[in-house]
Amino acid sequence: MLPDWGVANQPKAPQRVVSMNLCTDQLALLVAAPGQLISVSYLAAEASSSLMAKEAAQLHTNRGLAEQIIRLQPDLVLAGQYTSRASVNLLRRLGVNVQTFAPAYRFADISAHLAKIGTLLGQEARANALIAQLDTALAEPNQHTHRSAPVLGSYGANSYTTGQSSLESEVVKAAGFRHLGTELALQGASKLPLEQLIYASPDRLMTWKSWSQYTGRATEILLHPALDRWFPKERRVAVDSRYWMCGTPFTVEAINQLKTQMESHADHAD
Amino acid sequence: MTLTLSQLSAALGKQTVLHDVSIACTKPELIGLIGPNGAGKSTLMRAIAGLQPFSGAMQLNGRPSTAYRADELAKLLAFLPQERIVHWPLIAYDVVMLGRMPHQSGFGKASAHDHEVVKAAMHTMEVASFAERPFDQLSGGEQARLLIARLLAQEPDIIIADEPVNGLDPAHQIGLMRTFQALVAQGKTVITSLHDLSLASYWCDRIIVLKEGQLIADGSPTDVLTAARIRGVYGVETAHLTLPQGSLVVPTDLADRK
Amino acid sequence: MQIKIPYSWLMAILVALVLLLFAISISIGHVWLNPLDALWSGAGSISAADHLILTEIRLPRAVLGLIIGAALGLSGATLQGLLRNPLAEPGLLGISASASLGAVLAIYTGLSAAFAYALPISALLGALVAVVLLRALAGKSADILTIILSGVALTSLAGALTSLTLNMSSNPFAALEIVFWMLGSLADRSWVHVGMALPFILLGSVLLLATARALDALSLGQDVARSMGVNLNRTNLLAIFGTALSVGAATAVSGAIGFVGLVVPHLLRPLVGNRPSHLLPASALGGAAFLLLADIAVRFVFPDKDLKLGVITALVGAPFFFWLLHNVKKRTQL
Repeated sequence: MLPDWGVANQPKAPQRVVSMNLCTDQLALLVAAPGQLISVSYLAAEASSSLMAKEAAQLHTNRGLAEQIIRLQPDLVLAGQYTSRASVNLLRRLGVNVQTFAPAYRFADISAHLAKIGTLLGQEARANALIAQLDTALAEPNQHTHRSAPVLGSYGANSYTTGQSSLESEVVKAAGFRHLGTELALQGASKLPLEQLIYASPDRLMTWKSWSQYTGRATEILLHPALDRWFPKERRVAVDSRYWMCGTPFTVEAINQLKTQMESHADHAD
Repeated sequence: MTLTLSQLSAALGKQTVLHDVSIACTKPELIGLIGPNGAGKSTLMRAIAGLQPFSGAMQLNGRPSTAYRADELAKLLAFLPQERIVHWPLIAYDVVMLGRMPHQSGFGKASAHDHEVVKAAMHTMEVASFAERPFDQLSGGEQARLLIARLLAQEPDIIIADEPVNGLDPAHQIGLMRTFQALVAQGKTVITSLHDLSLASYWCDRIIVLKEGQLIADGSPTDVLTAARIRGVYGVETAHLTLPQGSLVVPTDLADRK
Repeated sequence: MQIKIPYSWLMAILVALVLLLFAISISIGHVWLNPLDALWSGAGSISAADHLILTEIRLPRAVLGLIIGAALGLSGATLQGLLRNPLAEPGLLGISASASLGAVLAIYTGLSAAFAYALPISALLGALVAVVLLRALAGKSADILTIILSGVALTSLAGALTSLTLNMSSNPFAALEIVFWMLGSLADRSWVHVGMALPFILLGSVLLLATARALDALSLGQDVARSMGVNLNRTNLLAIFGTALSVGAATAVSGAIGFVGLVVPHLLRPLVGNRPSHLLPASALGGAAFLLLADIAVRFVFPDKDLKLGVITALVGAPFFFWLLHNVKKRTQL
């Protein structure tokens, strides 16, 4: 059940909300009442990065520059903790109410972000409904990872992998696998030279589908012959990066998709 | 070896600095090229050496100079510029050996004959004693002699030397003129610009006078270096001495101070 | 400064040094591997991972270090001989930066995806524009500082255009690449890159080495060189195309690596009696040794930091540059 729209009309609730970050964009699109959110970042409207591109395309899109934001006369701005720092500081100095959100490192962060946005937008009921759905989905069995479970490692542009205490590690573990970055005790986004990756030799190598469309130096590493030799097709999993980039209710989909893909791979192997 | 220039003209930029100069060298001679600063001596020598575009005709051994390839020309004719440049502190011996380049094949491996020629040239110019020293550690006079040794090592039939005695002490100036005479005796032609009228009058077989780009006299020292002509060209008075070996012209004072 | 050492000995020492550094380069990495183990007792004696890492990651990396270092050292020595200027170097003169621009244009217009050799060809065209421009400038005024300042301007311009191209790209990682293109790296390159660079570098090196005798003659100035039968036009063309080919192809796969062409000829010049013709092959070997050493250093000093090669070469090269500049100024003031 959707909550009563009347809540949005309470005098306290902000009526001109602007979001400057892909992750807050998508959370706000889910939580806000129609008309309440007036602008999102341009990335939110791009199908290659956003899962709500269609919804975002209906709104004004911004590039996170202070001048552009201030002209929108927002009564609330949502931003990422690390993005557009200079713009955020400037907006605050100009008296704009800017709320920042750290990246989600755990599933619990997603609920916390939803709750925070719910409160800020005066849409607690909608936020709580989303949180309840998320909790149900994540409460499903398979929360323990076997010591013998296959190791799954991600590898992306510029030889980066993701370390422990990350949303990626949570998702991989929730899908029933061990996480390479966690096994190697890496912190945050870490550079993993190709030869180190080969020595670590995860059972499966996870790459991002959308990146294969780019040609360039950064993504060239994914075409390295040694990578192909060590991780042939049956040891690869290509996932949709849109589900992994932000902690949102869609993160549940990332877990499900990963499970499905790994199972179909396992079938092939048999 | 014959060299003929007919109506040779040359320009530096838009300014014509040589006007219709005609010279014929049909026998081995030591030719002194004289004239005041800016008369066109260097331009004429660069033109003969194939370094300066010109109009008119130049023939070497009856063949137009333009018909020679650069490497063929380099075996016939060697050039010593006024500036004594060696861009890197090369070893003295290696500098002289560069003169052998026209005679060497692609990779420049020096033959025993090349080494002989280089040693002889260094001996002639009295630079053999510092053969192993780098160029930048030589005195000005030593550098000048070394570069002349390089010129000699090229073993050309015609030598073009632009003010080679500059910076040499009297003994080495005279030594160089004697060397040139010896080369002429071997059948070579030497064309050298000189500012020293005594050297020119005493040692040269033939004097060519340039003024403002025009050839105004060409002949034996006694015929050419008259007091009147020198006054006309340089604006100086001269004393003339007749010695058993030849005549000697010595500048004394500016003409208008007399 | 003259040190007497027979030329053949010097070359033998340099070859030995290159071989030693090549072996170390193959051995060093996340784990120390002894390539001789694999040679001695066959591929079976080492693990499959070790074998793959040796043959597909470390070997192409070492080969690239060798050929790119040689290309940079050789072109530096040739440019110095040609311009008779000890400060001439592909990095300082903006040739490497222009080659980077060419490479980036090939990648982000999608040209290199359609045709693999478009990458080195576009890079060498970038380098060619820079050398031709420079040669035209040097022809008008042989003033050393004018040429260096033109190189500085060219480097900034090419860097800005490279940055612009990367910013315009739809690839979200492109903007971060500027560091690679300006400072260079050999990390995780493959045989594909060797195949891309090697033919051009070989051809370029042949052209550059063919200038050797003419450069000797040019030590005595242009007039004397010509009077000794040197064809200056031919020499210029050989040097221009040789530099564009070798520096262009090298930069296409490694990014711009500065100072190799400055430091190496300068160190070796006194050892070859200052003869440009002897300096060329020696600088090729010396450049290979220097770059292999720098690439060993980036892995040895900060193994996990992915230090860029240009950082090491600049740390070594910049003090050299200042010292040379000081000396050149003194010489020209005399």
